[in-house]
Amino acid sequence: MSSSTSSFDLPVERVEQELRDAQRARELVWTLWLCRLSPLIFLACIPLVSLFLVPLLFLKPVEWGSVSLSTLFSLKSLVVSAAVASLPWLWRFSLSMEGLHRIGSWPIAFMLALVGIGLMNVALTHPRARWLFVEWAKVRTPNPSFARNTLFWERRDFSNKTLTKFPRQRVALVGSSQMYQSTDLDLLAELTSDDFEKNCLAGFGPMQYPWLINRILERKPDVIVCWLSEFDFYRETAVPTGRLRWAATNKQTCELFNELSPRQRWDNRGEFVDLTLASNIPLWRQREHVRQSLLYYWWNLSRPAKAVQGSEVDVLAQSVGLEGAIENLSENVRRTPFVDINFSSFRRFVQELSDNDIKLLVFEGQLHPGTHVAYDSAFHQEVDERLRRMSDELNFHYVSGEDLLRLQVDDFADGYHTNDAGREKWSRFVAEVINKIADEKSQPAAAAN
Amino acid sequence: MQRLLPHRPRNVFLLACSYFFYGCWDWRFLSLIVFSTVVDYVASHRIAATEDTPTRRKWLIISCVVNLGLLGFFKYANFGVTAANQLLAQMGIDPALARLNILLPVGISFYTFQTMSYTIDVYRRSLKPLDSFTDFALYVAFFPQLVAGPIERGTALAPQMTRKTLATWADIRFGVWLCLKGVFKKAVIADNMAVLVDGVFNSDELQSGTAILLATYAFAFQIYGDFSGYSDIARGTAKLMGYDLMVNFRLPYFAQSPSEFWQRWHISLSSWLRDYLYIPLGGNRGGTLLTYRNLVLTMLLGGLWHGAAWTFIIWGAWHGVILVIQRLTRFGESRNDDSVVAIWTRRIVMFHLVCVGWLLFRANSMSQVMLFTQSLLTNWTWNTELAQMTWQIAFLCGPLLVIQYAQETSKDLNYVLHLSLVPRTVVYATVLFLILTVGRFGGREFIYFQF
Repeated sequence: MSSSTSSFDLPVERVEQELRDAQRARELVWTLWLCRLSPLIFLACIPLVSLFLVPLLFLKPVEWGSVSLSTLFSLKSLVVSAAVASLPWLWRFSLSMEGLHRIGSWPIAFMLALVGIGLMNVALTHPRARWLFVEWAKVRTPNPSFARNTLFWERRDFSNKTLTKFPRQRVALVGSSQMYQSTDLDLLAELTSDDFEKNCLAGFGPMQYPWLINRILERKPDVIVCWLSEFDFYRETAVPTGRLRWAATNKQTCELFNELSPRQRWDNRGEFVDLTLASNIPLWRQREHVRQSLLYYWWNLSRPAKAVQGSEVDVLAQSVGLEGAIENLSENVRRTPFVDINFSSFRRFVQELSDNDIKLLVFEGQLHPGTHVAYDSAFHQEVDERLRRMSDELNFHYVSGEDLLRLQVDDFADGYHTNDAGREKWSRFVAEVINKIADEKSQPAAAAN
Repeated sequence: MQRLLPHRPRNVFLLACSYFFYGCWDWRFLSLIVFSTVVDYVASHRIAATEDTPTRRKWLIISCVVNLGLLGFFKYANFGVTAANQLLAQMGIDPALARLNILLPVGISFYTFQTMSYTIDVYRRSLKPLDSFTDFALYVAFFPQLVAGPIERGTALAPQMTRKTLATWADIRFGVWLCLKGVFKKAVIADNMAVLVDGVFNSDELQSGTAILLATYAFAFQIYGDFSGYSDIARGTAKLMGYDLMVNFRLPYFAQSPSEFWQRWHISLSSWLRDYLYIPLGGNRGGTLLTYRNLVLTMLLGGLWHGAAWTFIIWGAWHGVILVIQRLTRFGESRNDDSVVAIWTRRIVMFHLVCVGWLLFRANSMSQVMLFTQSLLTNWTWNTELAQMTWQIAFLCGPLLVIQYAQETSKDLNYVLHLSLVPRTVVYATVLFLILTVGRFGGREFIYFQF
């Protein structure tokens, strides 16, 4: 403790007008020197930009072998260097406009900052800027992570923008890491006459299905295959903003809001603010990508990225051992008000598919047989019954019970995901079902002919 | 609403809002704050109404006993029971005292100290009690600072309750800036640092010394961002309504000595402890040894104010000890050597002394403190995760420190507001961008709500 009057020269909140004048005078000196140095800044920036801009953006090694005068003095490096060198002039110009920041009592700087943020949002809707952003973020997000999964979905927009109908039947496998790990695209294509594509995200739950339907329909599938279990329907205790934010639209947010009870709406008010912001502000929607790319900047420098197959990542979720899965399931699988919301979300998804004349094939999802001790088996029966009723009502194929291939302990790599043997076994079964359905359809047609 | 209502209905409206705000946590505790308000309102009027010293003292004691009694019961009863049981067990007696099933009312330490200072100031004749009960109740329960301070003195805030205060356009601009700054400190810095800190302090695995050091640095910024962020939001909200609350932080990590740190950190509490505890104990008037005793005792109680746990008490004792060592060594006081190297050496040493305190403050138990200390001294490693952790601390706290350095060198906390258009726009845009993208809004409460 010290005496009541401070003996230290402590900073205080000062309001004198002279301070602003003094600061302006200081900035005039700084900008004078910076402007004098701007030619040097320009010259120094040219090699720096041409050599290091791309490596810095995409964490690629510098290609020293390809350095030449033409690459050093490329138009891009000249433009970026000129832009950097002009910043001191811009600053000085604003200082010379003495009255610019004192128009009435308007907070001009704050308004300009808002405009700047607004422009960033607009830029993010432009394909080229978004491609740049996706490539920048992709190399910096940890693998596996939900942010990285969604970045690969974003990336699809640029590689297959002019996607048209395929000559063969196109099958989209939609679901979580369980679906992703348990299917082999090459084997499926080999065993059927169809083209397969995975549309999977870590933790992809029924509430997300209608939110991502447009992104799935963009792929122009003829058939959609899902794998759903009680683990998907019984785990939400709140609106999962982390997984919904990236796909948020005003329409989907409103529909979800209308499905909740007043109490649930109040309890999830923060989540709905989040989703509303995401629906309208691209930066907010992409915040997990920005966050990951800013905070994991070193990732690729210290740990090489896993090889990427096609347009997807190697794995979607961390491997969870049997014990971890049992613990996780016993904590999370329980009856909550969101079970009904999950079913109604899935119903909306099915109706949308029906409206777009897309066939749906749903498999009863499976977990490692050892995990069944973790929760009430009535949940499993309820999901089975409700999906069966829904399939009768909305006319989609639902494969469960005795018709289903039961995976065994040896087929799983961990509590949730299949191993290589399980993947092959399951893929063969899926192909068999698809072929069987195709045969059933072709027989009446042939008979009619 | 503020401008439409006359003074009296406006205060009633603000009081209703404040009680509603407080009741949102737990409406049952409203009775507690009302009770405390009534006691201090009556006590302060009784004290002011008489010149008879024993009567004045009697009412002061009643006020202190009631306030400290409530605080002691709700905050320290279970700590006392546990400590007594441990003591009995060590003496070989079967511990039979049962823990009480009580919840800690949010913000009780803040409003208790605020009302006590009011009554003590009236007793000291440095403040005239407020005539209107509504004005006084609003002074106690004023919602921006009710749950986590600043602990406002009656002399500063109470008079503002007696007149109609209207926010000017300049107040609104300043208030918005304070709120924005506060949200930035809380959502961008504190809550991101919290993830790093919890990853180390709440882990069951053995942590390396490097991870503990980084987590302690992160906690230094977490608690600063969290608490000063709240103070900024509280001040900003009050400013939007035309009220002035005191500055609670003055760039504490630029302090060069322990006593300077306490003039920059949680100023409303440290000045409270100085005026109502340290000086009444004798301050530095009773000789060297008594001064040291007063310092350690004051800081011990300051630690205990934060919570009923040994880690808080030892944290307080640590600050008491370094204040005593400063007195003994005159560290950072004379400032004869004002070279850049000397200044930065003192700042870095002081920051690390504070960090030792934060390790004690954040630790989940004393055994964790021992384990972490051992690890800090022996187990140093470096890997990718630690590199990422370092990057995150530097990326999130670096810009704040740059601005604070400019504030410190100019001795102007409003430095940003005095910048010209371009740099000011850059600062605002950066703050907004980081809030939008990196800010965490996951419902993590302010740390000081629990105190």
